[in-house]
Amino acid sequence: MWRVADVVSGVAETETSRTIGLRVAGLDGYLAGQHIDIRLTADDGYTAVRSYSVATAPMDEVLEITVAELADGEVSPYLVRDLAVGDQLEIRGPVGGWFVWRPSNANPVQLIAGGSGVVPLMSMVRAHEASSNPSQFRLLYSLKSPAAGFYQEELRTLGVESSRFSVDYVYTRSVPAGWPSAPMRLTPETLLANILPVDAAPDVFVCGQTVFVETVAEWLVQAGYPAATIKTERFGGTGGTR
Amino acid sequence: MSGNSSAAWGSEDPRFEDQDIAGIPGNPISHLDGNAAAGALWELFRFDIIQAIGRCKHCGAVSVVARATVYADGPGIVVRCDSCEGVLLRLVETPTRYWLDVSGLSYLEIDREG
Repeated sequence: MWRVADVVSGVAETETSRTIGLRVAGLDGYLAGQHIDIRLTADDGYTAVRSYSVATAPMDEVLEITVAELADGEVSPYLVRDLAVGDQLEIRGPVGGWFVWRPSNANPVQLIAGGSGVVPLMSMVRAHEASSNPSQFRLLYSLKSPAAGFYQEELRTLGVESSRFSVDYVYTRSVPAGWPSAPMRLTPETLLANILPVDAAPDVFVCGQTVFVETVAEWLVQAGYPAATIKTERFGGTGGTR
Repeated sequence: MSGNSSAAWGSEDPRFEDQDIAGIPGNPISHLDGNAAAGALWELFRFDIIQAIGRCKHCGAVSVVARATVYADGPGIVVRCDSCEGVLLRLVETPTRYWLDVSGLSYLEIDREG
């Protein structure tokens, strides 16, 4: 069930996060939105298991995760600071067949990310772009600051070039130069102004910290989005997952 | 949209500082989705129980396991009903054994194609 993955790349995503490429022997496909578990074992046999969402599209040869460093984490500082290309990791998965997007899904899709919650949503964006699925994808990305953003070049390019994808940002602490508004917390009004309307009947995926996810999901239901169309993935707090 | 919900998330509410995962050292670990238990449960059951539909023995709610609430900060995993918070499933792993309690689930409906 646990297998060995070779670390083939490690690129800083932001000052406190890193995208790590893994080559997994015998990896037989996966679904956009799934996660893997990573198990680290200390010399004395102590083990720590954490979950990390996959960022790449299922057809990519190298599976990538993006790990955000938690200040007092047991696992993430090692993965962000110390893990080197050529190292090996014990992984389980990808697993989880529920918080996933399948190319056969004809519905428009609204993705809502809080901070590093963008990772599994990026896998869906990439899978959608790589498919011939014509449905509209829209991403709302809530961030502390421009420097905290993951995948910025790729999202900017896709936002400009793709007719099927668009991205909107909410900055909660600091905004880019020339941004039309001051930093602001996400409110129901801002949320609803930046997502596909209820009438478009989108499938909605929300990912981020528990409080963020539950708040957004509650606002969506209050605004008339059917609860059955909203799927959530909560990261928890420190020591939690992803 | 009620005025209350905006006010509740106004600038004085420290919880809203928690939007980014890196920003909350010392915060207690909070609950997660059923999805968070997918790895351990997959290893045990060899099918994706997260996609299964389960009935809560406590309140009778029928829901996909993924919508249940997971507490993973103890020595094991506790899965609670999203409706009544009753315990559906408990799993503890030791180096040599699993300890599994599914007494809170009166049934599971599993897609054989899933």
